[in-house]
Amino acid sequence: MTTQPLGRTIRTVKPIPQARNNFERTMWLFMRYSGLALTLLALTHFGYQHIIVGTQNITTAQTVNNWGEAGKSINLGQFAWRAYYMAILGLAMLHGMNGVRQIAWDYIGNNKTAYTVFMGIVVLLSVIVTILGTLALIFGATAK
Amino acid sequence: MKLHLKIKRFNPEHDKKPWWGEYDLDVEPGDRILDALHEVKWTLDGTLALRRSCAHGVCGSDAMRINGRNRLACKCLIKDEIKNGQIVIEPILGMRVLKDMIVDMDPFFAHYRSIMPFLVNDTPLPANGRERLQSPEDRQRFDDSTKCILCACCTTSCPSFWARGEYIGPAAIVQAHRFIFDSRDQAAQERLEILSDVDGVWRCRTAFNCTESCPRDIKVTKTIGEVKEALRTGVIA
Repeated sequence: MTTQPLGRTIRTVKPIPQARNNFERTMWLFMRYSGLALTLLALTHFGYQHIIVGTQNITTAQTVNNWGEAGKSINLGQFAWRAYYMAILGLAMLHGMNGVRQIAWDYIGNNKTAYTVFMGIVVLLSVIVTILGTLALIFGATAK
Repeated sequence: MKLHLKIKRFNPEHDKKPWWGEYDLDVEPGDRILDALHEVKWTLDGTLALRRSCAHGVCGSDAMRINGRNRLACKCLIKDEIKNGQIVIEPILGMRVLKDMIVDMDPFFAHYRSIMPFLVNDTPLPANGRERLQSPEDRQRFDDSTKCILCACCTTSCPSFWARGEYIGPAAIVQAHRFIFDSRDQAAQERLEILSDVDGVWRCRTAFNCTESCPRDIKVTKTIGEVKEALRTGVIA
């Protein structure tokens, strides 16, 4: 007669050693968290601009008011707005680029040259877009 | 009732590309798709090639794309699938077609073998020399993934697999889950390392096609999620 084991067994494994694989895991998690953050950030932007401000009131003057004028010192609220849009810009570019990387690996991952050239172009373009956006956020809006 | 059956045909010996074979049949609403295919093969066109064995949803041989969804032909009734008097049948996607419904399953089984689909336990047997016992709760933990019959419905419905055949695919991950979460197994570390590969479990983007197509109602996407969680935390619970 043997006794019946009872209850649930919980086991642990050592960390997975391969660096490349941890990268994929990190990026998978990043996509989840950044996706959630972007949804909230975008909805907040939408709610503020379309409901609180109102579409008829979205003007350059309003943006200048929010962001602070180029070349002049800004207050804390204006700094917060710039930081808020910097977060959207940064997360959107990283999230989008990682999505493109995944799809590129799916379709042309076997052709290392095509994959490298394609991703090189994509990263270059995304860096240019990010720099342009960052410059706008650093220098602020210009009143007409 | 009348049934217009549209079947994607391909014979590499004399066809350059696939073509649609169209057949009109008299069937009973409660007949299975497999019965209709048999009717075509046995009375109208003997060249139609398909795999089937048990014909009762257990062997997993007759997976095919029925009206655009992966199903077992032996588990689908005509009355449930017929639309405007017609049913469209194609081979499962993402695999090389050998002839008509028959696809090359070798890459699928290569992925299956890669996760070591067998119990690994090198410890000595219990003192009485009999089986390694586990609690009902431990057995229940991987019950869902034991139901897999390797029909390939899930893997060949996965957009990630269509784009990249190197992706290990839902079926292999379900099979890995069956052993990783078995308290008697000792190779979870190795299996998780295999699944953490660039073409492993992280290729899954939770499209849920696999769960929708599984003829055994395995919650495939949830199973994959549990493997991801084990990889993330290092805890198998």
